[in-house]
Amino acid sequence: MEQGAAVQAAAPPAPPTVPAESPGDWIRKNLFSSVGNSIVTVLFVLIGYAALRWLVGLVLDEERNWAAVWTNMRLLFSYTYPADQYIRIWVSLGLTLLMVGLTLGAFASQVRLSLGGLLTRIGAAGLALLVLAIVHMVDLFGLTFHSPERPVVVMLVVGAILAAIGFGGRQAVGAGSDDERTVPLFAVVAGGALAFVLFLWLVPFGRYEAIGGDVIAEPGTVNFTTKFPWTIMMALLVGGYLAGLAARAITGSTAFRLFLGLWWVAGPAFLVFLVLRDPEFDWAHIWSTDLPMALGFAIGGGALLYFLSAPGRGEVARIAGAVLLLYAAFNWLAAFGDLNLPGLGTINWQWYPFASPPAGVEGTSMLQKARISFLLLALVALIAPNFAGELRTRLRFVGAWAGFMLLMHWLITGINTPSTVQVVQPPFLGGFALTLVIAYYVMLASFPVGMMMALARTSKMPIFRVLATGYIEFVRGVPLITVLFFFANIVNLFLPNGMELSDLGAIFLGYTLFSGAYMAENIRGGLQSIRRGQFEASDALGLTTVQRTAFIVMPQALRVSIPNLVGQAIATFKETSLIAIIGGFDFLRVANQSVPSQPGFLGQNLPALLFISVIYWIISYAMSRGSRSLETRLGVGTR
Amino acid sequence: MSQDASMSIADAGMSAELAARDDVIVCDGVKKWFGDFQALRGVDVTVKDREVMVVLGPSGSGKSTLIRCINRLEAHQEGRIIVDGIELTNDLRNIDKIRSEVGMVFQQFNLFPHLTVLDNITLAPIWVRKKARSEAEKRAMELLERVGIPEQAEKYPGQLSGGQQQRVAIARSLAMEPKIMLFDEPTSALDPEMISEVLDVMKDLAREGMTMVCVTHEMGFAREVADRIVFMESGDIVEVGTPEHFFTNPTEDRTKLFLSQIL
Repeated sequence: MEQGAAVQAAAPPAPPTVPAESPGDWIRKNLFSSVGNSIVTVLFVLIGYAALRWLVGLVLDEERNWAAVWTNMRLLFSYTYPADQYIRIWVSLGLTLLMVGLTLGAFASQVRLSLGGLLTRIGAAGLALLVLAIVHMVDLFGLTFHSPERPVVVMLVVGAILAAIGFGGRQAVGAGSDDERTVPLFAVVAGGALAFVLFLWLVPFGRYEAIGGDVIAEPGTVNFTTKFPWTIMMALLVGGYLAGLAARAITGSTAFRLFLGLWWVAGPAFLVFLVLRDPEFDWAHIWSTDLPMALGFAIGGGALLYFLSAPGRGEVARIAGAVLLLYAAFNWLAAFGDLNLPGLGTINWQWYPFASPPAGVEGTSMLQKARISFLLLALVALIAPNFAGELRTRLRFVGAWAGFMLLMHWLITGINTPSTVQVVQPPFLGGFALTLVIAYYVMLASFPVGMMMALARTSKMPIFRVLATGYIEFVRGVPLITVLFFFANIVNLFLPNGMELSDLGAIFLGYTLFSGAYMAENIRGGLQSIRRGQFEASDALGLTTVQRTAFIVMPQALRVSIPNLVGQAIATFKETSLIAIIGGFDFLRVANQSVPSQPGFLGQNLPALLFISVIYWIISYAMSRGSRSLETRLGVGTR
Repeated sequence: MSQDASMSIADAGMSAELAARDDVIVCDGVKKWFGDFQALRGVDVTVKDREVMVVLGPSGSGKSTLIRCINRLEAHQEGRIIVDGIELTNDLRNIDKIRSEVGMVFQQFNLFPHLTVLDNITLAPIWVRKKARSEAEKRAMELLERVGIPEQAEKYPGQLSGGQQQRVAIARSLAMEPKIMLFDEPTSALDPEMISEVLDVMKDLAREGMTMVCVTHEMGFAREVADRIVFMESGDIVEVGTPEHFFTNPTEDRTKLFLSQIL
């Protein structure tokens, strides 16, 4: 004891003080440490300088007509969506931003960013602008100096201001204190929104020139029709954030999380198909037929599921599920109408109410809903025993089914109702909106596809394994364009009369199946990294295979796969440009084809291409950074 | 009475009081092959209610295989294993039932690294026993109290020492309120200074009357706690006896050799 006290009392030896390295020392040590290193450094600087000069020249070139971008913003982002209906786009964007804010408030309320790091980044951005401007002005190879034109002056001024704010602020909060000084994410988001709004309202764009002795000063800010809605958008984002913070304090419940999750799955489809597309609902038909059918499936199916989820009804549920599955398959078969079997004569389905009507007869949306609902009911009946238990568990299960049925019937009805929005070319979405919607839903849907396929491929059951391996290897061996062509052109030939795959549907289905195969391989890599002890421990505790997969194996496998999954998601996002090949006007095609074919901007495709490159890069980089922070956040348990 | 011959080996070393208790685990001629290698060569052993049985033997003698067969992490190929009156067959329902009655503690702990200590403990009670979360958490805190680390409840396994992890693993098994606990070399992966904290928990358990089968190399523990000691070699049970008999007066040569090597 005394010895221990003595040791504690003695001051620990101070670490040797390392003298701070001067920038000159750092350069000598890292860039000019040897002859070879010096040559590499000089070469790299020269090549970098030349590349930057070329890039800045590309942007600031006199022939570059940047009006091709600024006047075509709506075309680039929403293609030919009619201007008189534009309020629909603002409503959709506003709701989305509100939900982004709400989600951030609910889930990222604790996230704080390092103030020093933020300021350093602002300063670095300013410094980069200054460097670019100077590189543009000073021609080292020709040893000349360009007097700065107006954009370069703007770059110099803005760069200087940003650098001063960044590095000055960094000095003010104290160097080396970036670990201690943090600001909440909310402050950063709100500050960014405020800065954007101020930028829109206060920065005097317009003409400022001195010709001869006359000084022309025509201040003008951004159009009211642009800056007013954007102000509301930013207010919604910040308001949503505040509401999320408040809601978290009030509820913090699973119900709230469930609502958010449901929104992020179904919400965007709701916005696209029911708000942007504005279907022309036939209300009489809805009250007389659509709604009763939806309620029938919700209540009737719910009653069946309630019965099947009673404890000890596992066998009954499996039999019921199998019977329903057969019935659903029969429905799909009947959909093909009269079946001509060589040598056996014709099978006539017309007596059957769910058979497709003869060619030329309308009104098959009801049949599709019935077929899909029966199929889903069969699948849910099969998993019903997993929800056996107390009354509350069963009621929650049945409630989820009923809610899902109503939502699904509503969406399908909307999708199958003709749109009132007049567009130049279907699908009614185009530009960035099309790219974003397709990328979002393909990523979302290919995830469960990939998970299922990865599990099937590692399953002990040979049939699953063979099917999954065949699917994955086949799809990975075929170009995406082929898959898209197949779904856009050929699948319709095999569909029964009265059913047809829309352009959006074809893109979505084909691309999801394609991306799912890659997701499956990424997740399989994660599955294989799970140690055997995890399986044994789960088994020893008596967990069922489904529980083991859901709670123990998958969470760990997905965590390992995050970098690969995000890489795949980024690739999916960028490769959406391939939908141009089957007729979609995506972001890239609008920039490369629609903009430069306008009379005013003939051949001017570079500005728009540079512009969309920046947008693509920002989103991809954000995903990449997001994955890294997700990894660190989830990595807590695996240290 | 053809079973008499085997019963005499299986029941060896039992006091009259112990012999009078109910059988909890009965192994009858259990054989197990890994490919061509025979890991168990017809093991006969009976574990009684509230008995603590320690299984000793050199590595590769089939000790771990035997207790892994008891909750069917490995499937035996011949013979019968009856746990708590239920025979282990390929019927999945029996296996799930037995696994929820039998707790197991592994050499490598096998905690779930992505879940907190509390979630590790409450997962199975909530999903297998269908307990309410609040009830499961209350019980989990009691168990953590019992193994001496209630303050670690919100941490992740990776943040704990080996000894603490193993104690969490024991608490996780106990949360299922098992009738039997199997320990597969629970202290072999631990640093020496952490072994006693795990053994203390196991001794408490034994004192409270848990039926336990322990594969271990801790002779002190075996001597202090075991009702009977089983010595295995090459997939066979060589000798069964009370600790006193085993450590002071072993009959078999191989047992003597083993003891001389490790003591």
